[in-house]
Amino acid sequence: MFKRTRPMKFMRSSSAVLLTFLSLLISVNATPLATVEASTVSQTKAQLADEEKIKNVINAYFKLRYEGQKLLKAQDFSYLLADKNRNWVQAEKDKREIELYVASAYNLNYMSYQYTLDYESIQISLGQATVHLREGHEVVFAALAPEVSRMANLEHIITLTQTKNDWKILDDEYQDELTRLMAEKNKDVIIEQVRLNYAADAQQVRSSVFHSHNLARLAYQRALTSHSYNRIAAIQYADYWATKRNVTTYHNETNNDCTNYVSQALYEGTSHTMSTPDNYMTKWYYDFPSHSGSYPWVNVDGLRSFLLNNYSNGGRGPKGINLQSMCSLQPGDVVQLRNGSIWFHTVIIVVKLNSSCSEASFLYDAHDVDRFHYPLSYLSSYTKRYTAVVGWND
Amino acid sequence: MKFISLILVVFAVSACSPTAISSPVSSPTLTVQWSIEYIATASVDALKQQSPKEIASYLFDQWLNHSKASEAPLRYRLEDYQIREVELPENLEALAKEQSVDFVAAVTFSVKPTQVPYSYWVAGNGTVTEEGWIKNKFLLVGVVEKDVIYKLSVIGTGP
Repeated sequence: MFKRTRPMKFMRSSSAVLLTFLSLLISVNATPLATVEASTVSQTKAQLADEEKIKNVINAYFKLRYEGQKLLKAQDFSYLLADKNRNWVQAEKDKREIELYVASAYNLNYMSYQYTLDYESIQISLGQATVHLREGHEVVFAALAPEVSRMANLEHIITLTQTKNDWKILDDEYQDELTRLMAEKNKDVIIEQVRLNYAADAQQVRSSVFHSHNLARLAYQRALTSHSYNRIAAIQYADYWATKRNVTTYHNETNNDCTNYVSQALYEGTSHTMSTPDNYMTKWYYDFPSHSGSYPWVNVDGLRSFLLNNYSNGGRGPKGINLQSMCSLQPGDVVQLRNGSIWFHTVIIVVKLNSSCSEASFLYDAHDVDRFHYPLSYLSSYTKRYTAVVGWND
Repeated sequence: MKFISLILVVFAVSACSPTAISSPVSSPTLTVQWSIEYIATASVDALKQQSPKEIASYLFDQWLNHSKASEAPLRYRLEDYQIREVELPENLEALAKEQSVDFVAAVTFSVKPTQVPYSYWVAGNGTVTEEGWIKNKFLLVGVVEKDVIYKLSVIGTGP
Protein backbone atom coordinates (compact mmCIF):
# COMPACT_ATOMS: atom_id res chain seq x y z
CA MET A 1 0.00 0.00 0.00
CA PHE A 2 1.14 3.50 -0.80
CA LYS A 3 2.54 5.29 2.24
CA ARG A 4 1.97 8.92 1.63
CA THR A 5 4.32 11.56 2.93
CA ARG A 6 3.81 15.15 3.85
CA PRO A 7 5.19 17.76 1.50
CA MET A 8 8.03 20.03 2.58
CA LYS A 9 7.04 23.55 3.54
CA PHE A 10 9.59 25.30 1.43
CA MET A 11 10.93 24.71 -2.01
CA ARG A 12 14.60 24.77 -2.64
CA SER A 13 15.79 28.12 -3.81
CA SER A 14 17.43 26.72 -6.92
CA SER A 15 14.13 25.70 -8.34
CA ALA A 16 11.95 28.33 -6.77
CA VAL A 17 11.43 30.47 -9.83
CA LEU A 18 10.55 27.64 -12.13
CA LEU A 19 8.40 25.96 -9.53
CA THR A 20 6.56 29.11 -8.72
CA PHE A 21 5.74 29.60 -12.35
CA LEU A 22 4.61 26.04 -12.73
CA SER A 23 2.64 26.13 -9.53
CA LEU A 24 0.77 29.13 -10.84
CA LEU A 25 0.24 27.37 -14.10
CA ILE A 26 -1.09 24.38 -12.30
CA SER A 27 -3.17 25.88 -9.55
CA VAL A 28 -4.79 28.91 -11.13
CA ASN A 29 -8.15 28.21 -12.68
CA ALA A 30 -8.31 24.83 -11.07
CA THR A 31 -11.93 24.14 -11.74
CA PRO A 32 -13.94 21.01 -12.21
CA LEU A 33 -15.18 20.38 -15.68
CA ALA A 34 -18.73 20.80 -16.69
CA THR A 35 -18.68 17.40 -18.24
CA VAL A 36 -17.74 15.89 -14.95
CA GLU A 37 -20.42 17.73 -13.08
CA ALA A 38 -22.93 15.93 -15.17
CA SER A 39 -21.90 12.71 -13.58
CA THR A 40 -22.58 13.99 -10.09
CA VAL A 41 -25.93 15.34 -11.17
CA SER A 42 -26.67 11.93 -12.41
CA GLN A 43 -26.27 10.64 -8.90
CA THR A 44 -29.47 12.34 -7.94
CA LYS A 45 -31.39 10.14 -10.23
CA ALA A 46 -32.90 7.75 -7.83
CA GLN A 47 -33.36 5.09 -10.40
CA LEU A 48 -29.67 4.53 -10.69
CA ALA A 49 -28.54 1.55 -8.77
CA ASP A 50 -25.92 2.16 -6.11
CA GLU A 51 -23.33 0.46 -8.23
CA GLU A 52 -23.98 2.79 -11.09
CA LYS A 53 -23.78 5.79 -8.80
CA ILE A 54 -20.51 4.53 -7.40
CA LYS A 55 -19.10 3.99 -10.87
CA ASN A 56 -20.13 7.48 -11.86
CA VAL A 57 -18.28 8.99 -8.92
CA ILE A 58 -15.19 6.94 -9.60
CA ASN A 59 -15.31 7.72 -13.29
CA ALA A 60 -15.48 11.43 -12.51
CA TYR A 61 -12.53 11.07 -10.17
CA PHE A 62 -10.40 9.50 -12.90
CA LYS A 63 -11.71 11.79 -15.61
CA LEU A 64 -10.48 14.80 -13.66
CA ARG A 65 -7.04 13.31 -13.37
CA TYR A 66 -6.80 12.62 -17.10
CA GLU A 67 -8.27 15.97 -18.07
CA GLY A 68 -5.72 17.65 -15.84
CA GLN A 69 -2.94 15.95 -17.74
CA LYS A 70 -4.50 16.97 -21.01
CA LEU A 71 -5.08 20.61 -20.09
CA LEU A 72 -2.00 20.97 -17.89
CA LYS A 73 -4.24 22.34 -15.17
CA ALA A 74 -5.02 20.74 -11.86
CA GLN A 75 -8.64 19.74 -11.66
CA ASP A 76 -10.43 20.08 -8.35
CA PHE A 77 -11.75 16.68 -7.31
CA SER A 78 -12.58 17.63 -3.75
CA TYR A 79 -16.30 17.70 -4.36
CA LEU A 80 -16.12 13.95 -4.93
CA LEU A 81 -14.59 13.33 -1.52
CA ALA A 82 -16.14 12.50 1.81
CA ASP A 83 -13.38 14.25 3.74
CA LYS A 84 -11.00 16.70 2.07
CA ASN A 85 -8.67 16.71 5.06
CA ARG A 86 -7.56 13.12 4.94
CA ASN A 87 -3.86 12.51 4.45
CA TRP A 88 -4.31 10.62 1.22
CA VAL A 89 -6.08 13.58 -0.34
CA GLN A 90 -3.07 15.83 0.12
CA ALA A 91 -0.81 13.06 -1.15
CA GLU A 92 -2.97 12.62 -4.23
CA LYS A 93 -2.90 16.35 -4.87
CA ASP A 94 0.87 16.33 -4.49
CA LYS A 95 1.12 13.45 -6.87
CA ARG A 96 -0.97 15.17 -9.48
CA GLU A 97 1.10 18.30 -9.03
CA ILE A 98 4.29 16.34 -9.69
CA GLU A 99 2.73 14.75 -12.74
CA LEU A 100 1.80 18.15 -14.07
CA TYR A 101 5.26 19.50 -13.37
CA VAL A 102 6.81 16.65 -15.33
CA ALA A 103 4.31 17.08 -18.11
CA SER A 104 5.06 20.80 -18.30
CA ALA A 105 8.81 20.37 -18.32
CA TYR A 106 8.94 17.50 -20.77
CA ASN A 107 5.98 18.32 -22.97
CA LEU A 108 4.22 15.22 -21.76
CA ASN A 109 0.70 16.50 -21.56
CA TYR A 110 -1.85 14.21 -23.13
CA MET A 111 -2.88 15.09 -26.64
CA SER A 112 -5.52 12.45 -26.29
CA TYR A 113 -6.39 9.76 -23.84
CA GLN A 114 -8.66 6.83 -23.34
CA TYR A 115 -8.80 5.16 -19.98
CA THR A 116 -10.49 1.97 -18.89
CA LEU A 117 -11.67 0.98 -15.44
CA ASP A 118 -12.04 -2.76 -15.14
CA TYR A 119 -14.24 -3.37 -12.10
CA GLU A 120 -13.37 -6.59 -10.33
CA SER A 121 -15.74 -6.22 -7.41
CA ILE A 122 -18.01 -3.72 -5.72
CA GLN A 123 -18.92 -4.62 -2.17
CA ILE A 124 -21.60 -2.49 -0.49
CA SER A 125 -22.42 -2.81 3.18
CA LEU A 126 -23.90 -0.45 5.77
CA GLY A 127 -23.49 2.67 3.69
CA GLN A 128 -19.92 1.94 2.68
CA ALA A 129 -18.55 0.48 -0.52
CA THR A 130 -15.25 -1.14 -1.34
CA VAL A 131 -14.35 -1.22 -5.00
CA HIS A 132 -11.55 -3.22 -6.56
CA LEU A 133 -10.71 -2.11 -10.07
CA ARG A 134 -7.87 -2.10 -12.53
CA GLU A 135 -7.01 1.07 -14.38
CA GLY A 136 -5.63 1.03 -17.88
CA HIS A 137 -5.09 3.65 -20.51
CA GLU A 138 -3.90 4.52 -23.98
CA VAL A 139 -2.54 8.03 -24.16
CA VAL A 140 -0.69 10.11 -26.70
CA PHE A 141 1.89 12.33 -25.06
CA ALA A 142 2.44 15.60 -26.89
CA ALA A 143 6.16 15.00 -27.17
CA LEU A 144 5.74 11.46 -28.41
CA ALA A 145 2.86 11.98 -30.81
CA PRO A 146 1.64 10.06 -32.68
CA GLU A 147 3.08 7.23 -30.63
CA VAL A 148 0.49 5.65 -28.38
CA SER A 149 1.64 4.81 -24.87
CA ARG A 150 -0.18 2.21 -22.88
CA MET A 151 -0.59 1.29 -19.26
CA ALA A 152 -2.58 -1.61 -17.89
CA ASN A 153 -3.60 -3.37 -14.71
CA LEU A 154 -2.99 -0.65 -12.17
CA GLU A 155 -4.94 -1.97 -9.23
CA HIS A 156 -6.98 0.44 -7.11
CA ILE A 157 -8.96 -0.22 -3.96
CA ILE A 158 -11.39 2.63 -3.58
CA THR A 159 -13.64 3.01 -0.56
CA LEU A 160 -16.71 5.20 -0.60
CA THR A 161 -19.35 6.28 1.87
CA GLN A 162 -22.98 7.08 1.25
CA THR A 163 -24.27 10.53 2.08
CA LYS A 164 -27.94 11.08 1.42
CA ASN A 165 -28.26 10.28 -2.27
CA ASP A 166 -24.59 10.61 -3.11
CA TRP A 167 -21.57 8.44 -2.80
CA LYS A 168 -18.32 10.10 -1.77
CA ILE A 169 -14.80 8.76 -1.96
CA LEU A 170 -13.14 7.95 1.36
CA ASP A 171 -9.87 6.56 0.09
CA ASP A 172 -8.00 5.44 -3.02
CA GLU A 173 -5.24 2.93 -2.44
CA TYR A 174 -2.96 2.09 -5.32
CA GLN A 175 0.70 1.79 -6.11
CA ASP A 176 2.53 2.98 -9.17
CA GLU A 177 6.08 4.15 -9.71
CA LEU A 178 5.33 7.64 -8.43
CA THR A 179 3.48 6.55 -5.31
CA ARG A 180 6.41 4.28 -4.51
CA LEU A 181 8.77 7.18 -4.94
CA MET A 182 6.57 9.40 -2.78
CA ALA A 183 6.76 6.83 -0.04
CA GLU A 184 10.43 7.68 0.20
CA LYS A 185 10.61 11.32 -0.80
CA ASN A 186 8.30 14.26 -0.49
CA LYS A 187 6.93 16.31 -3.32
CA ASP A 188 9.50 19.06 -3.30
CA VAL A 189 12.43 16.68 -3.26
CA ILE A 190 10.96 14.80 -6.19
CA ILE A 191 10.32 17.96 -8.15
CA GLU A 192 13.85 19.10 -7.50
CA GLN A 193 15.12 15.75 -8.80
CA VAL A 194 12.98 16.15 -11.90
CA ARG A 195 14.47 19.59 -12.43
CA LEU A 196 18.01 18.22 -12.10
CA ASN A 197 17.25 15.33 -14.43
CA TYR A 198 15.82 17.72 -16.96
CA ALA A 199 18.91 19.90 -16.80
CA ALA A 200 21.18 16.88 -17.19
CA ASP A 201 19.19 15.63 -20.16
CA ALA A 202 19.22 18.99 -21.83
CA GLN A 203 22.98 19.19 -21.39
CA GLN A 204 23.45 15.77 -22.95
CA VAL A 205 21.28 16.65 -25.89
CA ARG A 206 23.37 19.74 -26.48
CA SER A 207 26.56 17.73 -26.47
CA SER A 208 28.16 16.74 -29.73
CA VAL A 209 27.52 13.07 -29.14
CA PHE A 210 23.86 13.62 -29.83
CA HIS A 211 22.34 14.91 -32.98
CA SER A 212 18.83 14.92 -31.77
CA HIS A 213 16.93 17.95 -30.63
CA ASN A 214 14.10 15.78 -29.54
CA LEU A 215 13.50 15.45 -25.83
CA ALA A 216 10.47 13.35 -26.52
CA ARG A 217 11.69 10.10 -25.12
CA LEU A 218 12.36 11.68 -21.79
CA ALA A 219 9.23 10.07 -20.64
CA TYR A 220 7.47 10.22 -17.37
CA GLN A 221 9.45 7.49 -15.64
CA ARG A 222 12.74 8.91 -16.79
CA ALA A 223 11.95 12.29 -15.37
CA LEU A 224 11.23 10.74 -12.03
CA THR A 225 14.20 8.49 -11.79
CA SER A 226 16.45 9.03 -8.82
CA HIS A 227 19.63 8.51 -10.87
CA SER A 228 20.15 9.66 -14.42
CA TYR A 229 21.46 7.17 -16.94
CA ASN A 230 24.84 8.35 -18.19
CA ARG A 231 24.32 7.73 -21.88
CA ILE A 232 27.63 9.15 -22.90
CA ALA A 233 29.52 6.71 -20.68
CA ALA A 234 27.50 3.79 -22.01
CA ILE A 235 28.02 4.82 -25.61
CA GLN A 236 31.73 5.42 -25.19
CA TYR A 237 32.15 1.96 -23.70
CA ALA A 238 30.06 0.36 -26.44
CA ASP A 239 32.04 2.10 -29.15
CA TYR A 240 35.41 1.29 -27.66
CA TRP A 241 34.68 -2.42 -27.23
CA ALA A 242 32.43 -2.96 -30.25
CA THR A 243 34.96 -5.01 -32.17
CA LYS A 244 37.08 -6.35 -29.35
CA ARG A 245 36.65 -7.99 -25.96
CA ASN A 246 37.33 -6.56 -22.54
CA VAL A 247 38.63 -9.86 -21.29
CA THR A 248 40.66 -8.41 -18.46
CA THR A 249 37.37 -7.50 -16.79
CA TYR A 250 34.71 -9.72 -18.29
CA HIS A 251 34.39 -13.22 -19.61
CA ASN A 252 33.83 -13.43 -23.34
CA GLU A 253 30.67 -15.42 -24.00
CA THR A 254 32.03 -16.67 -27.32
CA ASN A 255 29.46 -16.42 -30.12
CA ASN A 256 26.82 -15.48 -27.53
CA ASP A 257 28.24 -12.25 -26.19
CA CYS A 258 25.54 -9.86 -27.42
CA THR A 259 23.72 -9.25 -24.15
CA ASN A 260 26.82 -9.59 -21.99
CA TYR A 261 28.35 -6.77 -24.01
CA VAL A 262 25.30 -4.53 -23.81
CA SER A 263 25.11 -5.10 -20.06
CA GLN A 264 28.72 -3.97 -19.74
CA ALA A 265 27.83 -0.75 -21.53
CA LEU A 266 24.76 -0.23 -19.35
CA TYR A 267 26.94 -0.80 -16.30
CA GLU A 268 29.07 2.14 -17.37
CA GLY A 269 25.92 4.22 -17.65
CA THR A 270 24.80 3.34 -14.14
CA SER A 271 28.02 4.54 -12.52
CA HIS A 272 28.98 0.92 -11.94
CA THR A 273 25.87 0.03 -10.03
CA MET A 274 24.61 -3.52 -10.32
CA SER A 275 22.20 -5.66 -8.34
CA THR A 276 23.06 -7.39 -5.13
CA PRO A 277 24.05 -10.87 -6.34
CA ASP A 278 21.42 -12.82 -4.45
CA ASN A 279 19.28 -14.20 -7.26
CA TYR A 280 20.87 -15.53 -10.44
CA MET A 281 17.66 -15.58 -12.44
CA THR A 282 16.18 -12.20 -11.56
CA LYS A 283 19.01 -9.87 -10.53
CA TRP A 284 21.28 -8.05 -12.95
CA TYR A 285 24.92 -8.46 -11.94
CA TYR A 286 28.31 -9.69 -13.01
CA ASP A 287 30.06 -11.98 -10.56
CA PHE A 288 33.67 -10.92 -10.90
CA PRO A 289 35.19 -13.74 -8.81
CA SER A 290 33.66 -16.43 -11.01
CA HIS A 291 33.74 -14.28 -14.15
CA SER A 292 30.10 -14.88 -14.92
CA GLY A 293 27.06 -12.73 -15.49
CA SER A 294 23.63 -13.49 -14.10
CA TYR A 295 20.77 -14.52 -16.38
CA PRO A 296 19.56 -10.90 -16.89
CA TRP A 297 23.14 -9.81 -17.50
CA VAL A 298 23.85 -12.25 -20.33
CA ASN A 299 20.49 -13.29 -21.76
CA VAL A 300 18.23 -11.42 -24.18
CA ASP A 301 14.97 -12.17 -22.38
CA GLY A 302 16.60 -11.86 -18.98
CA LEU A 303 17.86 -8.35 -19.64
CA ARG A 304 14.57 -7.17 -21.08
CA SER A 305 12.61 -8.57 -18.15
CA PHE A 306 14.95 -7.00 -15.62
CA LEU A 307 14.83 -3.56 -17.20
CA LEU A 308 11.06 -3.47 -17.44
CA ASN A 309 10.46 -4.86 -13.98
CA ASN A 310 13.05 -2.93 -12.07
CA TYR A 311 10.35 -0.61 -10.76
CA SER A 312 8.42 -3.14 -8.76
CA ASN A 313 11.48 -5.21 -7.90
CA GLY A 314 13.48 -2.20 -6.84
CA GLY A 315 16.71 -3.97 -7.62
CA ARG A 316 19.91 -2.00 -7.95
CA GLY A 317 20.78 -1.33 -11.55
CA PRO A 318 19.20 0.12 -14.67
CA LYS A 319 15.51 0.38 -15.34
CA GLY A 320 13.74 0.82 -18.63
CA ILE A 321 10.45 1.22 -20.36
CA ASN A 322 9.10 -0.40 -23.45
CA LEU A 323 8.80 1.87 -26.45
CA GLN A 324 6.06 1.21 -28.94
CA SER A 325 8.22 2.38 -31.81
CA MET A 326 11.77 3.39 -32.57
CA CYS A 327 10.88 7.07 -32.81
CA SER A 328 11.77 7.79 -29.21
CA LEU A 329 14.96 5.76 -29.12
CA GLN A 330 18.07 7.56 -28.03
CA PRO A 331 21.71 6.55 -27.90
CA GLY A 332 22.24 4.21 -25.00
CA ASP A 333 18.89 2.46 -25.46
CA VAL A 334 18.50 -1.21 -26.21
CA VAL A 335 17.02 -2.94 -29.24
CA GLN A 336 16.31 -6.65 -29.48
CA LEU A 337 15.48 -8.80 -32.49
CA ARG A 338 13.06 -11.63 -33.03
CA ASN A 339 13.14 -14.59 -35.36
CA GLY A 340 9.92 -16.57 -35.37
CA SER A 341 8.94 -16.70 -31.73
CA ILE A 342 12.45 -16.28 -30.38
CA TRP A 343 13.96 -13.01 -29.22
CA PHE A 344 17.50 -13.82 -30.11
CA HIS A 345 19.76 -10.77 -30.25
CA THR A 346 20.54 -7.56 -28.35
CA VAL A 347 22.15 -4.41 -29.75
CA ILE A 348 22.72 -0.96 -28.29
CA ILE A 349 21.89 2.28 -30.07
CA VAL A 350 24.91 4.59 -30.12
CA VAL A 351 24.07 7.39 -32.55
CA LYS A 352 20.95 9.14 -33.70
CA LEU A 353 21.83 10.88 -36.93
CA ASN A 354 18.83 13.14 -37.24
CA SER A 355 15.37 13.65 -35.90
CA SER A 356 13.58 11.55 -38.47
CA CYS A 357 11.93 8.37 -37.35
CA SER A 358 13.56 5.89 -39.67
CA GLU A 359 15.86 2.96 -39.07
CA ALA A 360 18.53 4.60 -41.17
CA SER A 361 18.71 7.37 -38.57
CA PHE A 362 19.92 5.07 -35.81
CA LEU A 363 23.34 3.46 -35.60
CA TYR A 364 24.02 0.53 -33.31
CA ASP A 365 26.93 -1.43 -31.89
CA ALA A 366 26.77 -5.16 -31.23
CA HIS A 367 28.73 -8.29 -30.44
CA ASP A 368 28.50 -11.61 -32.25
CA VAL A 369 28.43 -10.51 -35.02
CA ASP A 370 30.54 -7.53 -33.96
CA ARG A 371 29.16 -4.29 -35.35
CA PHE A 372 30.30 -0.71 -34.95
CA HIS A 373 27.99 2.10 -36.00
CA TYR A 374 25.80 -0.04 -38.21
CA PRO A 375 22.48 1.46 -39.30
CA LEU A 376 19.47 -0.12 -37.67
CA SER A 377 18.07 -0.46 -41.17
CA TYR A 378 20.60 -3.27 -41.66
CA LEU A 379 18.32 -5.27 -39.38
CA SER A 380 15.15 -4.16 -41.11
CA SER A 381 14.01 -7.68 -41.88
CA TYR A 382 13.58 -8.50 -38.21
CA THR A 383 10.84 -7.70 -35.77
CA LYS A 384 12.22 -5.52 -33.01
CA ARG A 385 11.40 -4.45 -29.51
CA TYR A 386 12.74 -1.23 -28.06
CA THR A 387 13.73 -0.62 -24.47
CA ALA A 388 14.50 2.92 -23.37
CA VAL A 389 16.80 3.06 -20.37
CA VAL A 390 15.31 5.68 -18.08
CA GLY A 391 17.70 5.69 -15.16
CA TRP A 392 18.92 3.41 -12.46
CA ASN A 393 18.26 2.39 -8.88
CA ASP A 394 20.82 2.41 -6.14
CA MET B 1 42.62 -25.42 -34.95
CA LYS B 2 44.73 -27.39 -32.57
CA PHE B 3 43.91 -31.06 -32.57
CA ILE B 4 45.96 -33.06 -30.12
CA SER B 5 44.28 -36.26 -31.07
CA LEU B 6 41.30 -37.21 -33.09
CA ILE B 7 39.74 -40.57 -32.65
CA LEU B 8 36.48 -41.06 -34.35
CA VAL B 9 34.19 -43.60 -32.81
CA VAL B 10 31.21 -43.72 -35.07
CA PHE B 11 27.94 -44.76 -33.59
CA ALA B 12 24.46 -43.45 -33.75
CA VAL B 13 23.82 -40.32 -31.81
CA SER B 14 20.49 -40.48 -30.13
CA ALA B 15 20.69 -37.22 -28.26
CA CYS B 16 18.01 -35.54 -30.26
CA SER B 17 14.43 -35.69 -29.12
CA PRO B 18 11.63 -36.94 -31.34
CA THR B 19 10.95 -33.35 -32.31
CA ALA B 20 14.48 -32.68 -33.35
CA ILE B 21 15.34 -32.92 -36.99
CA SER B 22 17.28 -36.02 -37.92
CA SER B 23 20.90 -35.86 -38.90
CA PRO B 24 21.69 -37.05 -42.39
CA VAL B 25 24.30 -39.41 -41.11
CA SER B 26 25.35 -40.39 -37.65
CA SER B 27 27.40 -37.79 -35.86
CA PRO B 28 30.64 -39.11 -34.53
CA THR B 29 31.60 -38.92 -30.90
CA LEU B 30 34.86 -37.09 -30.80
CA THR B 31 37.69 -37.54 -28.43
CA VAL B 32 39.58 -34.34 -28.89
CA GLN B 33 40.91 -31.71 -26.60
CA TRP B 34 37.90 -29.70 -25.64
CA SER B 35 37.76 -26.12 -26.84
CA ILE B 36 34.98 -23.60 -27.29
CA GLU B 37 36.75 -22.79 -30.52
CA TYR B 38 36.24 -26.36 -31.70
CA ILE B 39 35.42 -26.57 -35.39
CA ALA B 40 33.09 -29.32 -36.53
CA THR B 41 34.15 -30.91 -39.81
CA ALA B 42 33.05 -33.60 -42.20
CA SER B 43 34.33 -34.91 -45.47
CA VAL B 44 32.53 -33.66 -48.53
CA ASP B 45 32.45 -37.15 -49.86
CA ALA B 46 30.58 -38.49 -46.84
CA LEU B 47 27.88 -35.87 -47.22
CA LYS B 48 27.69 -35.64 -50.99
CA GLN B 49 24.07 -36.78 -51.06
CA GLN B 50 22.98 -34.27 -48.43
CA SER B 51 21.33 -30.90 -48.85
CA PRO B 52 22.92 -27.74 -47.44
CA LYS B 53 20.43 -27.79 -44.59
CA GLU B 54 21.32 -31.37 -43.75
CA ILE B 55 25.01 -30.60 -43.91
CA ALA B 56 24.58 -27.68 -41.52
CA SER B 57 22.52 -29.85 -39.23
CA TYR B 58 25.11 -32.60 -39.23
CA LEU B 59 27.95 -30.24 -38.43
CA PHE B 60 26.00 -28.39 -35.77
CA ASP B 61 25.06 -31.67 -34.13
CA GLN B 62 28.73 -32.53 -34.04
CA TRP B 63 29.54 -29.12 -32.57
CA LEU B 64 27.01 -29.51 -29.76
CA ASN B 65 28.05 -33.07 -29.12
CA HIS B 66 31.58 -31.85 -28.55
CA SER B 67 30.41 -30.14 -25.37
CA LYS B 68 29.08 -33.40 -23.95
CA ALA B 69 32.64 -34.53 -23.46
CA SER B 70 33.65 -35.06 -19.88
CA GLU B 71 36.72 -32.94 -20.57
CA ALA B 72 34.55 -29.92 -21.18
CA PRO B 73 34.71 -27.40 -18.32
CA LEU B 74 31.61 -27.42 -16.17
CA ARG B 75 30.69 -24.01 -17.46
CA TYR B 76 30.41 -25.36 -20.99
CA ARG B 77 29.42 -28.96 -20.45
CA LEU B 78 26.17 -30.34 -21.79
CA GLU B 79 24.16 -33.28 -20.59
CA ASP B 80 21.88 -33.24 -23.58
CA TYR B 81 20.71 -31.19 -26.50
CA GLN B 82 18.04 -31.06 -29.17
CA ILE B 83 18.26 -29.46 -32.57
CA ARG B 84 14.82 -28.17 -33.34
CA GLU B 85 15.15 -26.51 -36.69
CA VAL B 86 17.71 -25.52 -39.28
CA GLU B 87 16.81 -22.83 -41.75
CA LEU B 88 18.64 -21.22 -44.64
CA PRO B 89 17.28 -17.66 -44.61
CA GLU B 90 17.60 -15.85 -47.90
CA ASN B 91 18.28 -12.55 -46.20
CA LEU B 92 21.64 -13.79 -44.88
CA GLU B 93 23.44 -14.08 -48.19
CA ALA B 94 25.29 -10.85 -47.55
CA LEU B 95 26.36 -12.16 -44.16
CA ALA B 96 27.65 -15.34 -45.79
CA LYS B 97 29.75 -13.28 -48.13
CA GLU B 98 31.05 -11.13 -45.31
CA GLN B 99 31.91 -14.16 -43.18
CA SER B 100 33.52 -15.96 -46.13
CA VAL B 101 31.30 -19.00 -45.86
CA ASP B 102 29.34 -20.77 -48.55
CA PHE B 103 26.02 -20.34 -46.79
CA VAL B 104 24.59 -19.31 -43.44
CA ALA B 105 22.12 -21.40 -41.50
CA ALA B 106 19.91 -20.29 -38.64
CA VAL B 107 19.68 -23.01 -36.03
CA THR B 108 17.08 -23.29 -33.31
CA PHE B 109 17.99 -25.70 -30.57
CA SER B 110 17.75 -26.51 -26.89
CA VAL B 111 20.45 -27.58 -24.49
CA LYS B 112 20.58 -29.10 -21.05
CA PRO B 113 23.75 -27.88 -19.39
CA THR B 114 25.27 -29.75 -16.50
CA GLN B 115 24.44 -26.75 -14.38
CA VAL B 116 22.33 -23.74 -15.27
CA PRO B 117 23.72 -20.92 -13.12
CA TYR B 118 26.69 -19.32 -14.82
CA SER B 119 26.58 -21.77 -17.70
CA TYR B 120 27.91 -20.52 -20.99
CA TRP B 121 24.70 -21.71 -22.59
CA VAL B 122 22.57 -19.20 -20.68
CA ALA B 123 24.31 -16.39 -22.51
CA GLY B 124 22.83 -15.00 -25.67
CA ASN B 125 19.31 -16.28 -25.97
CA GLY B 126 17.03 -19.06 -24.86
CA THR B 127 14.55 -19.65 -22.08
CA VAL B 128 15.51 -21.48 -18.90
CA THR B 129 13.03 -24.15 -17.81
CA GLU B 130 12.52 -25.67 -14.39
CA GLU B 131 13.81 -28.97 -15.73
CA GLY B 132 17.20 -27.41 -16.37
CA TRP B 133 16.84 -27.05 -20.11
CA ILE B 134 17.52 -23.87 -22.02
CA LYS B 135 14.91 -23.96 -24.73
CA ASN B 136 14.73 -22.13 -28.01
CA LYS B 137 18.28 -21.05 -28.38
CA PHE B 138 19.20 -19.51 -31.70
CA LEU B 139 22.52 -19.28 -33.48
CA LEU B 140 23.73 -18.34 -36.90
CA VAL B 141 26.32 -20.69 -38.30
CA GLY B 142 28.20 -20.81 -41.55
CA VAL B 143 29.38 -23.73 -43.62
CA VAL B 144 32.40 -23.57 -45.86
CA GLU B 145 33.80 -26.23 -48.14
CA LYS B 146 37.55 -26.28 -48.36
CA ASP B 147 39.96 -29.03 -49.39
CA VAL B 148 37.18 -31.63 -49.58
CA ILE B 149 36.17 -30.85 -46.02
CA TYR B 150 33.06 -29.10 -44.78
CA LYS B 151 33.75 -26.85 -41.83
CA LEU B 152 31.30 -25.24 -39.44
CA SER B 153 31.80 -21.62 -38.47
CA VAL B 154 29.72 -20.48 -35.52
CA ILE B 155 28.92 -16.87 -36.33
CA GLY B 156 26.85 -15.56 -33.46
CA THR B 157 23.40 -14.74 -32.19
CA GLY B 158 22.61 -12.08 -34.74
CA PRO B 159 23.57 -10.70 -38.09
